[in-house]
Amino acid sequence: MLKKFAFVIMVLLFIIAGALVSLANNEEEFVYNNFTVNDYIYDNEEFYEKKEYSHEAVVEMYSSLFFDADIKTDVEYIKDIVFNENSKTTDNNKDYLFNATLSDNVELENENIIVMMFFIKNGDTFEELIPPEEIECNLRLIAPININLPNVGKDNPNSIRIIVFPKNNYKDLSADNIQVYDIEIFINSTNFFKGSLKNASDLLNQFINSKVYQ
Amino acid sequence: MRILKLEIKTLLMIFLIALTVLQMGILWTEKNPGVPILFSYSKFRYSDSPSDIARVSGNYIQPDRIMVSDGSGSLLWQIEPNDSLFDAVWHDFMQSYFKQILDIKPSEGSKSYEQDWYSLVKMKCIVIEFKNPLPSEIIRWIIGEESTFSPTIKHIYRIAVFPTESINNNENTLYIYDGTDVYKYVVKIEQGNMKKEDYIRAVNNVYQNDNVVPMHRMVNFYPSVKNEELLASLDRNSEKRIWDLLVKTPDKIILNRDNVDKIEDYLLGDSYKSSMVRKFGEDGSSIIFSDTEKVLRYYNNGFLDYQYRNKSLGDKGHVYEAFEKAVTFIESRRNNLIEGVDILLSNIEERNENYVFTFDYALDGMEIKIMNLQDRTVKPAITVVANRDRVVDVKWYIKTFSNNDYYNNYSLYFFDIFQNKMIEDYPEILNNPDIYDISIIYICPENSTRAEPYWVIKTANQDAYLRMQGKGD
Repeated sequence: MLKKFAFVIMVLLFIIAGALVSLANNEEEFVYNNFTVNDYIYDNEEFYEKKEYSHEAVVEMYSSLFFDADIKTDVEYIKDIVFNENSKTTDNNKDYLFNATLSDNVELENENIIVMMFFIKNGDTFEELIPPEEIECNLRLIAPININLPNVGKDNPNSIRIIVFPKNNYKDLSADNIQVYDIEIFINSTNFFKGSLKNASDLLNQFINSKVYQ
Repeated sequence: MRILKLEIKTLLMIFLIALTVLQMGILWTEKNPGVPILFSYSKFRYSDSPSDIARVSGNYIQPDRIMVSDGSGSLLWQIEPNDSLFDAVWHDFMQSYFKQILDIKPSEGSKSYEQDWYSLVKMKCIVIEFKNPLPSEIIRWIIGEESTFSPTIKHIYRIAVFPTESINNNENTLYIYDGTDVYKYVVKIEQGNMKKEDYIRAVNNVYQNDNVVPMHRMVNFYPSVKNEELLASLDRNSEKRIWDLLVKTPDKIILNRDNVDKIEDYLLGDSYKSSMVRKFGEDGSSIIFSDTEKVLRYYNNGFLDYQYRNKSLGDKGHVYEAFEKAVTFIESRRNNLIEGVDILLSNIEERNENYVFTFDYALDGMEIKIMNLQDRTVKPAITVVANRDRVVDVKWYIKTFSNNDYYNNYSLYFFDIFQNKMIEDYPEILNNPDIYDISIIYICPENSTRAEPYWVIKTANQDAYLRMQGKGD
């Protein structure tokens, strides 16, 4: 009887130990990530430097320059600007990938940072399309940026303005040292709705299938 | 009552034994997918006769990759070699399509895009690519085609299958690129081939297959990229699980003084060994077998160096005749020695007096190459110089492979390559990433027992080898 009891206790102990180990792993990872991130931010001097620079403050300070309808700039920090649909299907959708390459006149140095701001025209005003991106200039090719475009239809273009400038120049920006790039992107409404219907149909199928397997 | 207890105990024992067998089966499948090599029927059937050599030679040829183009022009979906679609498509070519291609003349393509390979592969199709142009003579010999008709196409480099082009249900349209020109063939879908609707379904539904990683045609995203064919993943989340490999010299030919007879059996064969003189190297790290015609050195790290003394002797012959000699040399020695990997032809170089064939070990679609740590050069597993009459020179790292007990998940995202710790060794790639090709291979240092995954970044001037950093590294 004692043996049986001891056996049952051992099995229970193994189960508890297994559960503890698996929980402990998850917990450890979670705490570790938090610690490292916090530690990095507060111990790093760059954090304080970044505090000096603020995207919002720059936009506010240079709004008349950034959103001037007639502005023309000659300087080029990025080139080969391409917007591609970012979809695993060939159906059109609103997700796009922005790709570009650093111009030859931009020196490749880790300390060199280019700021890219994306705005979209809404009536007579510009709205922020995505949060600004800071590009470390260590490679000519710029990593793709995901952008979700809001407007659909041939009468409803996505009028995008991209403002590019070196971060170091933020205190003294002018038409001579910023790059302004305007582009209009049209999303075909027929294809978009077809894609949406298809997605809805896929969801419905998934729902039906999940019911079947339950 | 006691008998009942005994029966229950017996049943429990049987149940536990069954569970143990099941568990062993699961572990076996995880570590060594496929049939255990000792029980593989084909190993017992092999002989040196020419027809057998031609038959097994097919195992030395495989596409470098098979991809599905979804018609967007930007994405190509790479099918894994262990995917059933890969096998099915390759089976169709080996059993039927190659025979037809070599027997008929190509059709005239009337449209301009039919002459432009890069335009073709932007459309909905299945693309089959070889690492290097493959002589059609070799394919003809492997498939046993005896026609005297001289094929129009001399090399096969890439093939695009357009299942929707012909309205006839029992026909498939193929475009074949030899590296210079594009040839159009309309082939019959024979019994046993994949049906036309299967091809169409594979193209249309590829994005639903979670195991297939979409590769981005870089030039569509970065026009400054010079190589139109450069493919890489621009999806931050794309990753691949890769096993670490255990690499060993086969137990049966480990070099020591008690094992010389066995080594002789495996590496020389009955026809040679009686005439050979054997001698250990001064430091005991190698053994030399020699006679008046040939010298064979075998080192304790599994490296085999075979040389025919009079290299210029013999008729150069056709490439398939020399290939037959090369495959015979390897095939007669690899049996029961090399396990867990395929040996695939990766390159052919034609010289004045002979041909140089390069072979690599391959596992899960990844080549396994050998690195010399002194000069950091990366070498193929096997290099065979041969002509119509004989093999004249062989350099072969004889290794056997199995999965180590661990794997890692590796990011395939293009920009993660440049976060690699070793990229600093290649500053020119950072400054001017004019990349010709990107691939993933295993690399095993010459005397190591471990092979790890590496990025191979090919530029116009050099090849960079960067050890991949796993998610946990």
